[in-house]
Amino acid sequence: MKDQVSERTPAGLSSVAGKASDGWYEKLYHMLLGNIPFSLLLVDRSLRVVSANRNFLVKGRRNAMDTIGAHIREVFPDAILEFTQLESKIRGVFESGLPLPGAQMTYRAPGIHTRIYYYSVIPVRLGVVVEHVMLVMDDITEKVQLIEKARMVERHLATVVESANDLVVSTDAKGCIISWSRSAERISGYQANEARGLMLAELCETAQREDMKAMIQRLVEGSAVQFQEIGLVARSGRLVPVDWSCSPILDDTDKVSGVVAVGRDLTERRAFEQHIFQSEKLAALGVMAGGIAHELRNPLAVSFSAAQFLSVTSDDPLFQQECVNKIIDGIQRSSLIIENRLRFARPAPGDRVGAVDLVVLAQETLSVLSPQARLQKIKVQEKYADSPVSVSGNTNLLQQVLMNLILNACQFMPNGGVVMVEVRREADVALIQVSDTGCGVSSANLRRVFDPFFTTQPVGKGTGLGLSICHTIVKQHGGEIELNSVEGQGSTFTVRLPHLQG
Amino acid sequence: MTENLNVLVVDDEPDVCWVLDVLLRKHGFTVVTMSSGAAALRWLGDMESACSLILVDAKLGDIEGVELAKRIRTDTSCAASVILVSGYFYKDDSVVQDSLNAGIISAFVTKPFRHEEILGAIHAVLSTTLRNNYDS
Repeated sequence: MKDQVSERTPAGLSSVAGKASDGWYEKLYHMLLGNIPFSLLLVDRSLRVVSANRNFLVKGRRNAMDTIGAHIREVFPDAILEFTQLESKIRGVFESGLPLPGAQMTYRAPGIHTRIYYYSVIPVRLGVVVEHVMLVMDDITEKVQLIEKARMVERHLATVVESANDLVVSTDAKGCIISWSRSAERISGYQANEARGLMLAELCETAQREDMKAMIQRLVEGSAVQFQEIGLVARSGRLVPVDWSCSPILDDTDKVSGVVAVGRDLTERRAFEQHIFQSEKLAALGVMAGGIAHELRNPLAVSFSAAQFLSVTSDDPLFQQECVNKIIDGIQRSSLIIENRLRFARPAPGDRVGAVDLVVLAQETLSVLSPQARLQKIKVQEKYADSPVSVSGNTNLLQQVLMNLILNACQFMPNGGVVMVEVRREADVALIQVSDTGCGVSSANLRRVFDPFFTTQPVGKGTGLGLSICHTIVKQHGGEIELNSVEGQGSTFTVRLPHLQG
Repeated sequence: MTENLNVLVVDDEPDVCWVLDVLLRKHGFTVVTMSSGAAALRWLGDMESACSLILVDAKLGDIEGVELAKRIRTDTSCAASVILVSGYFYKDDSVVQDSLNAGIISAFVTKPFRHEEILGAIHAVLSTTLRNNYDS
């Protein structure tokens, strides 16, 4: 468009050189040039300004009087002339007759905000002779500022992404990796250039690849997805537990063009949880310590007395045999009590997963806890399904859930009562229910019972972590835990876990 | 002096009852064993005059040993001294100390025990009781 204006209608610009016979055209061009968003300057061979449009005059804070007829040295500040070599460029165009391709110019003058122009110099011919040249200046200040702002935002975002501890990954709508942050490199051991182009699902644990694909698919279909834990297999072969939060990338038409996946490395949290679980287990053991002492001292007392009877000479061989039997019995019973406790107290690897029969688990757990319950005048009722109720999980962790729920029920009943443990199957759900006839939980506290450190017990009586740990373990097993309670009438904890088929 | 003295042993552990039964019979007592607080109270209600000493476990299936000692005083007319025999408490536990000070129990013996220890406690309690009876 610039070319059109200058090449075809020099008359439209010029008030001195023009020979416009048609007043209408002249008006039209003046109007046009006065309103286009470019600064235009027509210069003659002596480098004096022949014509300047309104845009130029306004931006340069000049008027026609001091501009028309002035040498360009008087119109442009020295610094610009020096920097852009404008004079020699204009002369060059006069000599060559060829337009000067665009360049950038920063216009700074006293009292004027800095403006940035994109300018070109175009020869204006009259016949074969270049009579004038036109300086076309496009004010790109805002554009440049916008671009700079955009670059800054981009750099800022890139820094955020790169400095994040979480893995930040983007994929296309098919799940093919497009970007791979520095922390993703660090955690996975794969460099960005290796990861790019791979399917994100391929880097996940074999058993969970379909989960990752399904999650991306759901996002592409426009559904929201929740946090999901999917393990990433690092280059070293180490399985990294990662909690993924994924959101869709929408294009201008609101179509999902890709997915941003932010993953939190759970390795440290898992180790920490393991530590907490073990501490809580030891605390639970402490709660049972009274029961252990009482339990042990009875068989010890019997063995001790029987031995004392034997040490006094007796001529009754039947009585002697009876004493020996009591000693052996007592030692075996003591040993069994210790055995049960040690098995519970021993830390077990939290990642060992297998089929666990909840009925057997409940029976074993109650065999350890019943003496403690008896001490508190608590009657234990058990109700089990006829066939095994199996889930996939870690025996030790699930035992800890049961243990905590039963100990918790006992704490609800300081004056004795009944604790009912039930294990059954409902369709594809394995169900554990632990009910008590205790004081119940007020509706205000109902929601808080699974919060860490929430406890209604006096200081020193409970860690306040038991139920929160139950919640964590049940969630890790893909299950749910809920509490129904009526204050003053008792509570029922229900754990639902996916039933293991076969 | 121990001849014909009736001792009631209350413990829910049959083997502990066996130990105390054998030990006390060897030393001339007549022994009756009960496995619960309710059974003990019932027996005392029927046979109160015949009982001279009661050995009580601290944790029974239906009642705390200390509570049973109180009930014997309030629910029966039996005046026999009570010795708490426990694997649960320690001598310096406040429950034990308070009960001793209040006269609810006359002695405390921990399980497991040396025979001379429990026999010593029994004789000490009985001699005090007999002297008191004699004095009054």
